[in-house]
Amino acid sequence: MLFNSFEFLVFLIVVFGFYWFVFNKKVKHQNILLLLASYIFYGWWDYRFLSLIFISTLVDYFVGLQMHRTTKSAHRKLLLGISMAFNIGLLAFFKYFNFFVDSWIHLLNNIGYQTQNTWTLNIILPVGISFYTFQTMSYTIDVYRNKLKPTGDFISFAAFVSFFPQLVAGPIERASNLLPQILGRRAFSYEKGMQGLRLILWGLVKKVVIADVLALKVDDIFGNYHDFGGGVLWLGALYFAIQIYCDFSGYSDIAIGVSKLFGIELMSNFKFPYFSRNVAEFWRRWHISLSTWFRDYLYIPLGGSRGSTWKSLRNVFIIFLVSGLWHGANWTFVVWGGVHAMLFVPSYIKGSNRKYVDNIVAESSWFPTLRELGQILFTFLMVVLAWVFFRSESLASALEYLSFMFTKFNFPRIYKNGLYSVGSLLFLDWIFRKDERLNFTFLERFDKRVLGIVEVLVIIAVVYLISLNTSSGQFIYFQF
Amino acid sequence: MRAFLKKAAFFGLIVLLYFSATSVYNYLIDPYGIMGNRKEFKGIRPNEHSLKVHHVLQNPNKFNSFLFSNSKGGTLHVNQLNTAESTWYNMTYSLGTPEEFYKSLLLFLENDVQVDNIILAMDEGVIYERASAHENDASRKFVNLMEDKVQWEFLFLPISIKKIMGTDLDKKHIEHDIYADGNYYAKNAYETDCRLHENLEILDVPDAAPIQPLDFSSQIEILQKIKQLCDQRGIKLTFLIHPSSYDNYISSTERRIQFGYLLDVLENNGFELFRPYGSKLLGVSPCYWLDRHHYTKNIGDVILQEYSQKWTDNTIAQ
Repeated sequence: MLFNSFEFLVFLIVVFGFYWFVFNKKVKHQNILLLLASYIFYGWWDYRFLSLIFISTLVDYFVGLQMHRTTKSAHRKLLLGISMAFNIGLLAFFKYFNFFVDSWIHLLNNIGYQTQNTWTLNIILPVGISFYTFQTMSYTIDVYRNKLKPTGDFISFAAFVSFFPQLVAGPIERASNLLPQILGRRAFSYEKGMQGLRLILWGLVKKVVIADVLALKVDDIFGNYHDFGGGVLWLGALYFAIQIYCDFSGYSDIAIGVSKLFGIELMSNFKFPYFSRNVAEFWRRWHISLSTWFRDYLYIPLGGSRGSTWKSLRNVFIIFLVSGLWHGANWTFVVWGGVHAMLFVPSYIKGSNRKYVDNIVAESSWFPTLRELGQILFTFLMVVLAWVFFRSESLASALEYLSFMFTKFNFPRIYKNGLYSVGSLLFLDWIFRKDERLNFTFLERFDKRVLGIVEVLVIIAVVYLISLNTSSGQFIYFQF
Repeated sequence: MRAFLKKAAFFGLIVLLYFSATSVYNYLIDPYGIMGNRKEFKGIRPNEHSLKVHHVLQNPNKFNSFLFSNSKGGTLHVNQLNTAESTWYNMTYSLGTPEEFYKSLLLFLENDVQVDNIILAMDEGVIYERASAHENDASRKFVNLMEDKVQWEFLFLPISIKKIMGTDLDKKHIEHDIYADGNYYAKNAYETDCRLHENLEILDVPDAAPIQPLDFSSQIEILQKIKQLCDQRGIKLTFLIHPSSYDNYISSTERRIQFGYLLDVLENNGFELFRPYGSKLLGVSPCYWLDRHHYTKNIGDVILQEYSQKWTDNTIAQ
């Protein structure tokens, strides 16, 4: 069920109604409803894969409980190993089996052992598998580290694993944030509800009005890049940068907004990443739930920045390469991760990677300084170039695409109108940059009647913009 | 909660009212020409792509010869080519692309439309217009009206002021004839008596090669597919290259150089191209032109005469 579909609208209204007006007396009843709704939501794509979520839930539920009951270190490690092996095994089989077999055969052929590939299977990738397996793994690891007490309430745990707003494309929630909210009593507030609606609307605009429109141009440019001059290829890379941002952050905004309607707060997943002043800041603002997951559950256990410089650099490369591979079973994603690692390393060595941790650019002014503008443009340029690897079908086509961008450059004759979408998005993002949850507290100063009129006009404008784009596209991150 | 529900209901009502208004408007007035309620298109450009394909599919025996082109082909009044054996229909529509023409042709053949002759006319739009760009364009997106289903997405298209107002019929404009021959009829396009003294200048194309020649493999592939399909089905296919004006050439030299390069590549790959006016540029008085890009019906008539002559010559030679 797509967020930008009519059936989701009906589904949301029905679930919302039952949640607050029928099952509102007991948290347990609300959680049963959430679980049922989440399974319907997921089963809408392919009900067969519900069994995977269910088994994953069962494994981590019992592993968590058993781990809490024993104090023996070896026993706890064994239980952790079972959970990791199961979840990573699930991912490895459904997502990476063919990739590893293909790569192995390719390697053998390259070193002279001519062999036929008879191993690859016709495997369907279950939607959202990378998201819910990471979520359940974080639960088990937190229990192992004694940071979290496991729950004995299976229904609530199952609702945590499959919570429908973020099930298929994140944010990848931590048990320590989401589980207590699911276990506790939720209250509805007008402010949260309105904020939720604003986020849903803004997410839809990003998805339908910007991402889906740019997607048509991007698909054509990347699909036929031989036919275009370098100018159009630059536009293609730029449009993809904006498309993937609007597609993914739009989904996250809708997920956060929908959760708010159910009285649940999800973590922020994007904080205006294209206004970052270096790549380190970009990664603190892009897909935050994944980058912090890798930081907490991979980078730090590997030793993080402790130890020698080489060891730290090794750790940096590992998390970027694994993060790349997480996005898809293709060497293009791995190289994309590697490129980001290389872009990250200079600031890491200089020690400036933690320079922009707390504040966003131009926090107390309308415009950035010239230096900041230069930093933002340079970072954006690097990120856009790296996206070419992410979007291309193969490494060879990515390299060719990049070389054509420079060697065949000419002024673009077509596809320039996408720049309106890019400009509008960046302009609005700049306005919202200190307020990713769209609290809009500054509106409190205005007269309520004026605000009411403005709200109505905004709704009409948004509906008009959405109706301009009649195609209904899948969200890109479902495939990861 | 009550305050929230009231507000949400209010916003929901606005959305509902908006879409009710657009659907009623679109269904009753049919400004995009897609519900089949509208038969005349004076000063309004309908979705010719869908309507013309639909008209042919509904009348599979009415025509057996088709001109596929972007809007430049509109003033090639193909009914001049009608003979006892062939009845022509002009499939031209604005920014039409070979990829779309190929799909339309496949649809014709799947639905038992008799196809004996095709002229596929091209200009630099072959390179610079993509079928994918029409996916969100109500005037160009293809909707198969033969499918027995409600075209919901068209009911919710935004109300277009331009479509409501139409064109001032006293000014120069195009009238579209979907239900007779598919031709464009230029209205008020000529200054008084201008047509009587059309002194056409024929100029050489400046000698130039593209600095960075593009690959064009996807375009060549689609043209190849059309050629193969026509060969298999015994359809007489002509690739017509629209003449260009000197002014247009100068205003966008690079794209026309690239287009010229594409034509050379096509000819080197066994494509026989019909280039009226011998690949030269037309220098004409602006009083003849509806706009800078399209040529006059008089020029169109010359092209069609040359086509008939070429056809007759080929038949005699055979």
